Amino acid sequence: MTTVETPRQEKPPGAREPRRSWSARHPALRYALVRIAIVPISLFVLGSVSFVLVFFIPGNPAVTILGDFATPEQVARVNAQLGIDQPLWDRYLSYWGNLLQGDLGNSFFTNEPVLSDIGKFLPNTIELVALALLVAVSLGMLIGVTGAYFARRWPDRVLSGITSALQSVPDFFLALVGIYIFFFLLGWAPAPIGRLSIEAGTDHPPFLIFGSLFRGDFATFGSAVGHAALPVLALGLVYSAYFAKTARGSMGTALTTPQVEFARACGLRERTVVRYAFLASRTTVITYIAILFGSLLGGAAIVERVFNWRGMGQWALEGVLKVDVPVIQGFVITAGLMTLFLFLLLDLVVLALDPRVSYE
Amino acid sequence: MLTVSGLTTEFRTRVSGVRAIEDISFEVPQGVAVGLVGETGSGKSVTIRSILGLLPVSGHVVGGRADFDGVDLLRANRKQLRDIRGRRIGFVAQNPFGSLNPILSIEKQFANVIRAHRKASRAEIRALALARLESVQVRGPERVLRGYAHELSGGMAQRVVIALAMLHDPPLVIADEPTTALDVTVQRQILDLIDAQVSEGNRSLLLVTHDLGVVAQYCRRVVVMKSGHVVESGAVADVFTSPEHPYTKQLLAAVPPAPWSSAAKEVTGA
Amino acid sequence: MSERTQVPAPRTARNGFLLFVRANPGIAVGGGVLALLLLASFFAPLPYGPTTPDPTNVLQEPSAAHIFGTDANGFDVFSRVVAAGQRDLPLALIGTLASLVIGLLIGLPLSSKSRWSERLMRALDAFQSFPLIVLSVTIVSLTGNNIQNIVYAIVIINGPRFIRLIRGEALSIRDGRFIEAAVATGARPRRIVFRHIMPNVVDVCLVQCSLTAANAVIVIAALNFLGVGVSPPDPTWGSMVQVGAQGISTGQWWVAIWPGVAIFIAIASLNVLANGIQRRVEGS
Repeated sequence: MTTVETPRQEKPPGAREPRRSWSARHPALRYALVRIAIVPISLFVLGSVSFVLVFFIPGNPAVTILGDFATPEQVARVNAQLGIDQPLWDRYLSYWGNLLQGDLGNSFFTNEPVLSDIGKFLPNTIELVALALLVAVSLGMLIGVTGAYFARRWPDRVLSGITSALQSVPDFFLALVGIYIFFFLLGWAPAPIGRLSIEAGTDHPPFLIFGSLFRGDFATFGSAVGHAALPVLALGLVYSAYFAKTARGSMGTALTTPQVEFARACGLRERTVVRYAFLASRTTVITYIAILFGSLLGGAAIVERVFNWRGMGQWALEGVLKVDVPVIQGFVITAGLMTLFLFLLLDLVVLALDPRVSYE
Repeated sequence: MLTVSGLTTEFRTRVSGVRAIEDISFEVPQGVAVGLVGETGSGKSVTIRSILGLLPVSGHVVGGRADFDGVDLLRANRKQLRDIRGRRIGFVAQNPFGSLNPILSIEKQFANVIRAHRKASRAEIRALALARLESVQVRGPERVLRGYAHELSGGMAQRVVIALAMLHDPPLVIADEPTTALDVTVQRQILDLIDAQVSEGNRSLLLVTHDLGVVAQYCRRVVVMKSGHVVESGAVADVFTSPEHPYTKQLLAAVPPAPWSSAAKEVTGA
Repeated sequence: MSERTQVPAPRTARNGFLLFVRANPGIAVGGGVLALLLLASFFAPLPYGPTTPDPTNVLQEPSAAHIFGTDANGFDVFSRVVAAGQRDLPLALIGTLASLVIGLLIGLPLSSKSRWSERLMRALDAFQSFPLIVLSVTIVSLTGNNIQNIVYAIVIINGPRFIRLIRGEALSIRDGRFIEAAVATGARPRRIVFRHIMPNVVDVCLVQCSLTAANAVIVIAALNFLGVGVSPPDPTWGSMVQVGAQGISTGQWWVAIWPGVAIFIAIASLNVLANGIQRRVEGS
């Protein structure tokens, strides 16, 4: 018998006994796997929710959708696509069958495939939301951290006054004020008629700003940035106020912990102390970024309409207002997918950042 | 070493101000351990936080002096204060898990404290940290350095905190109830350790506690506080054998007879 | 002027009121402006009928006759801005109450630290990060385009915040000592929740209520701006902004800006009120 004695490492008496099982020895990995395993379940729930939406339509859906003056052919077509005459279970199965093949149906009104519409409009929305999020997070963080650091002194009071004021303005209204001042009065901003000037038309490659920058097409890039400035600022400013409030709160808490006191008592530089307080509050901050993303996507829908941005939100809102069921379902599924993967990413990032693994 | 005189601190809300401590005066001579005792809420914590400039935002020092190293700590600017904290005054707080940063490795925390006051290479930091961890009797210091605070027991974590506080060999150590958050079994070990570290370097110690037994055993001088005022101070032997203030008498009467039982008998018999 | 020595004044009602105002400027200002808006919207005499257009006076700039001007239909903007409060403000308050009730009904039972209640909270986070405004537009327009149905939208957006808040508060209070004492004296769990946890939650809920009402005003305005839940010619602030949006790039600012300013004042006063209550809760 040969027992290979693994040299037992000297272990501090205070350290926790490691347990036997593999998953217990790698709690972070196990958590990550469990978290990823949840994704298909979430997808199933998401798809089913989007299916159920149709049942919210009161009365005869086809008539509700098309209005009282619809021709019988139109009603028949919509009914066929809704599958009203089939049993519920069959409809549910064929819905999933289509969904899994990537077929989201066609719009009742334009008869365009929903998937190709999403492909056309989603990049516009992503650019708008990404830039607005950038403004909101960086500005909000700056305001929040400054306010927390100078807690209850004048910079805090001034900044919290500004954030309160910004929070009291609906984003679409700020956009209108922006149009009035910067387009009509000052003439600095281009007309709110889309992503480029009217001569350029609407047939442009996706990801106008990032794409033209990447290709080195600076004329297009400049025009696109000019057109993006107002909607991005309107959204970014309003949501930076929400973000500032969260950042102020969690930083305020993080700066009054005994940990910060001890760091100061050890003579650490204020810069370092603030940096670590910031790191300590990052879980809250990152989670809030994800929540903000959703609100921003919704807020963008309205602002897109104001600027005729031709984004997914505007497309979905117009679909919603016309009860265009496949469009609504397409939007719910796309936005839901984005949310799900954002949260998966968020959870994994938080996990990677935190050595404590406080999940189980 | 440290001379506090007339220290008065207020907590202000928008509407009113509350005096937390008033006219606090005491002295911590070179190489002497001074106990600061009093019940919860008597202002011990506020006193040391006023001295170290660690008051919360609503706290304001409104009067007095705290002379240390030829500097009045209450009027020192941020740069002076930062230079003194950690390098000239070491601080040990109540709860080690509150003090240590949960998301940084212990080695990184040593590096932070060392680099706060001087330049040092990674190897230097490592060597110094290992030596210091050994001197506070942490077993397996390499492994502790690589690990995080949550992997340590309370006693071990407090040892790490003490090592951090002593990194720059400060001539004065302020310990704020360093054992309150720990198991009873390790409290004595930690106090012995602080005592050994302090007397080894002929340092001064300001030990904040509510335990008169601890003062009797580890301190030469004592300052008794009650509701924001110093009610009595002097050599431990004097104060404990012939307390003048009725509050001190009460305090002594409340303590079960322990190492200084002769004194206790005298008091209770009086 | 060294009148620091205060003569104890007799505690009359008027005196008590003044003392309250001095100690709680936020509550006084926020609540006062809000009350003023509500009173004005219901009882203020209006120069013109808010739903009777004057086709001969279309898109008039603000003047002595029409202090806020007229819109493209010939409505007097001032009359409509004031009257719109009749719909927007009570609706915001009802939506807030509904959100609060939902928060209590779901948040209190969930206030345990079991694993599945933690997971439910995480799911709630995910739900909140969905573009809820679009979802609520969907639901309101599908359930019949009534202004009352906007309550659903407010609840969908604000209910989760209440659930999280109330659960968190109840959890932290449940950890507190006096609950332990109540358990030790043999009180039943339901009694603990309603006699001990509820009153403590009330303070925090008041703050959240004013914040929710502020958000509700935004939600109502946003939905009305999109034409959801609007029944012309009844005025709402959101639909008035929508009417004015068409003229904003050609310079007719007054049609959209005045109702927008009304929205701003309503939300700002609710935010100030929330701050005031927060201060009061922290101060005591």
